[in-house]
Amino acid sequence: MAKLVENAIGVLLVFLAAGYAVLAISRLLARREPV
Amino acid sequence: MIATGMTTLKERIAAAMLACVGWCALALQYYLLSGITHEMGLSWGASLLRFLSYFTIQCNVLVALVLSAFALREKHSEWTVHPFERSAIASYIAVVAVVYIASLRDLWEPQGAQWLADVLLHYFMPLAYLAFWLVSMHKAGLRWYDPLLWLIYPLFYLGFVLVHGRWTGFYPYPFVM
Repeated sequence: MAKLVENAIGVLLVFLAAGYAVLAISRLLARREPV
Repeated sequence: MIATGMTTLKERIAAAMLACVGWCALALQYYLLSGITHEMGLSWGASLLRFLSYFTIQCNVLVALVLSAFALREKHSEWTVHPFERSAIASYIAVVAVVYIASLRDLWEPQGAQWLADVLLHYFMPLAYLAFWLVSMHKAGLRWYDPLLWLIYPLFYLGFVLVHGRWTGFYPYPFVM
């Protein structure tokens, strides 16, 4: 159970990192998009 | 090239072609998996549920749906949709590729048609969708806390996998058992 929780937190952190990477790229490129 | 805010014919054709590859890859993977589950004596429903219990499959279905919608939508109504969902899917499919490369690909050695499905679902479609998202999809309007909201789906998925696993004894990934 402890291993499962540890793995689940690890995977969720990967999702969070990917999400913020996507957000950062979006913010960067969105400046060049027409409103 | 950057997203212009308008869907061009070229973009719609590219989306249609990528969606087609995605649906074909999913159909191939289902065909291959159903052959195995049939030998195991699983019912059609149990086989379909097992197929859909893979996060890779769910994400590729989402990718194929978004690309199909992109290809089929009216030219000028394309950008009325908030980029929330498309960017969320970009993060999910990126995780599919990263986790597969980092911890799953060494666990097996697919051959033949299974190799093709593996490459399409874990490498080609993630890269293709991310490239398409980068080049052609509208990205403005995301909020700083959107990545936190994007965690809701993986959390639901984790719950689904644990309940399905407890019920059937099948866990699609070694790190969620």
